[in-house]
Amino acid sequence: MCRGPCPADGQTVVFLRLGWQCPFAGWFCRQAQELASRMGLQFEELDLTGRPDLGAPVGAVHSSQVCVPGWPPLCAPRDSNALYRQLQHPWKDSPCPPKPPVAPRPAGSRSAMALLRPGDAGWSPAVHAGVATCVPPRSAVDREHAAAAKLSWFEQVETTYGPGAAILVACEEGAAGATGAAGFAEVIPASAAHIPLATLRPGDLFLTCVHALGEDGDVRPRILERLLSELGCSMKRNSRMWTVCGLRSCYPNGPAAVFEALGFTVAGNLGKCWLPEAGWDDLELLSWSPAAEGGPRLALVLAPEDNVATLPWGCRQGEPVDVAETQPLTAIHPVPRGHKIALRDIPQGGRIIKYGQTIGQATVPIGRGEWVHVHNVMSARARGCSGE
Amino acid sequence: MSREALAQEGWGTGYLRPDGRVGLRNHLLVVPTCVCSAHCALRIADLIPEAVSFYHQHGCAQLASDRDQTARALSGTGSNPNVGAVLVVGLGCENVTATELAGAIAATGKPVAQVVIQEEGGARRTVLRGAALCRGLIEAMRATRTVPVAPEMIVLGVECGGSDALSGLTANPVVGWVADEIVEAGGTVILSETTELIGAEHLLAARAIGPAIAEQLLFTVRRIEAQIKQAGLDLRGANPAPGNIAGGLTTIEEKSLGCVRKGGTSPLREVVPYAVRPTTRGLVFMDTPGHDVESVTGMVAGGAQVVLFTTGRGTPTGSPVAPVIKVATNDRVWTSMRPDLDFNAGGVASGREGVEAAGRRLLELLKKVAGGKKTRAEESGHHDFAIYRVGPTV
Repeated sequence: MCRGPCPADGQTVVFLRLGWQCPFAGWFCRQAQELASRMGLQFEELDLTGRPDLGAPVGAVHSSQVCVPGWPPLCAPRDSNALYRQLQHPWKDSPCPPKPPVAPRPAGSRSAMALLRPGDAGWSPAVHAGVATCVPPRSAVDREHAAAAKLSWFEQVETTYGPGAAILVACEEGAAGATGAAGFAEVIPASAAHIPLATLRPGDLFLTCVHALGEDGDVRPRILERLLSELGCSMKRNSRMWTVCGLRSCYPNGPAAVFEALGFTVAGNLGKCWLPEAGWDDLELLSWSPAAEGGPRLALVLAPEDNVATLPWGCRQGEPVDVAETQPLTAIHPVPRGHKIALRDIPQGGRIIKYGQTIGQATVPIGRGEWVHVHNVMSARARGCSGE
Repeated sequence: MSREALAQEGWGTGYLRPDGRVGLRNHLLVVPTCVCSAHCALRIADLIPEAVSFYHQHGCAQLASDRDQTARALSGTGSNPNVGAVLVVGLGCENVTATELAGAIAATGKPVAQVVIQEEGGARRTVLRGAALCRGLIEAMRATRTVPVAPEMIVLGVECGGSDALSGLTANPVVGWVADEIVEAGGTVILSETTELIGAEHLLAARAIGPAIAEQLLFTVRRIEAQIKQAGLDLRGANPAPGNIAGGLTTIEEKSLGCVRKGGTSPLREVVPYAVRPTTRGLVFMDTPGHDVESVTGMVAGGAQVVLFTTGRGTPTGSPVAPVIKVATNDRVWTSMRPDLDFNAGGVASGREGVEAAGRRLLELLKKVAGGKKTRAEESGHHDFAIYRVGPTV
């Protein structure tokens, strides 16, 4: 089962949290915890950033820079405004995914972060310009470059930390059509962490949840690299560090990647540990960015003459649906993922048209915005018992 | 890279067979003639690391058309260029005899041996004798020449199973894009699943190279639809299956319109019966049921060396002789069934990537698999095999 260096019994797996911005960080943390327990390992969470109790901003705002004493000024990518809005979204307080409890603030700890705005002392136009160029227009070519850059960085880390060491760089895609992606560049030094590094033993493993743009030149891998070098002595000597992530929309890939990074073949029986307890629907609905911001649901209309649209992520009752029509469309029923919604009123016996082709007949009158499926549609083909 | 050049390079090397076809794998296949010899065949393959085998329940007590179809599927699988040598394991009194099968496969020029349980004096002796014969076949396979693979040597089977509403929007168009590349580069693509053409047959018929081909296709679809109606049954519940319906597919027409997209947009050049090798290159339709494993088995028996298999609900399907590349239609199944899947086309739905970008990635994966990279089904040893029955057991 074990492909590479395997963790030994009694080792500690540390979940290294680099941000609260990820809607699934808490869920991911629990999965990592479960994984650790299945592997017979200790588990601890090491929170390095974004703690409101430190008085630090949870997120940086547009065009802000974040300054950490002893570090060069860092800059949040341009589109973090969108993310900041998301931070206000109800997911923060919703039961899914639950956040792990925040450990009490250690006595005497202070904020290690300062927020810089243009004109403030310490603001670096050069850093800001650098970040602006690190969020290039999105295209397949850019993405290929980013992937190649990540891969080479991955290899570099493996060279540095020895065979078996692996850092998978996070790649967080933004909303479809968005020019940037949400992200943060704040880092709090290890001295401000909940769990003192001194309590860790040589050989402990680090599971890190990092959100990154996935674009070439993303600042966060470099931040992580700095963090690594700060913790470097012990890392290089004794520890392996793993950074795990996934595409936003398939974020739960994380634990599988953790497992694979640890040198195991992911077995089928671990499948259920990837699934959030609260079920997939809420998770994916929340992960779909327009929905997370309260925007309309994506609907796919495949041909102009179609009278139904497919909702890849489904929608809840009463939610607006984005069909790029002048008349706003509201879902009359909850529509499950992948199912269809009526774009127009369809009379009883009327044709249901998708792909510009007839896919069946309405068995009852179907109103605009209704869920269209086997309860109100009948096939016209291969129905021996229908008497046709 | 230009679209023309895209499919031409980087295919790695394959195994040149005496009949001129090129295999992407070099399997020693142990073929049971009938259900009675199936376990002996598996036992022999267990003893020989290089050997693969499969179980099937046919080969005896079948009416003529059914018996012929079984013989065709078995000899076709043995003749597949991914197979370097074949051991046929017979019982001795079955409809499909070892001599018939071995003869049909030996016509391709590849090394073939046979062992018959009743002639050897029992199962135990058959297994030992079969294993000894396998060692000789492995020696004979060592002489196989390797040649660079070119796209015109490729026979690609396209299949969808466990479909959901995204199959027709993401993975099938992506596979269709790859199918077009292969056809344009001179290769062959086999589209199948007659049941899943119901409601979309007119679109494919319109692309036929002539009225005769179009009529063959329409006849094939009418025949299966008439069979269903004659039986007084309703297709719904069987196809779309309950999982398809849960995934958002309402009718067979809707499913078919998504299914047909995995064949791409090339002209339809030929319609072949189940498990029959196409005589032309380009896009070919094979008359198979919508049953995934029967359909894949038919296409592999028809000479497909590699299969692109899209799935929205998830399936572990593999083939004993052909690599099956499984393409997820959505991020969710890609995550939940990751160990069984090879490629994620779910990004097409979320706008992460376009059909062409995903198609290019899939083509690169296809080339790697052609060059020897193992698919998830190969790694897991999934040797699914099932023959399309057209008659009762008698």
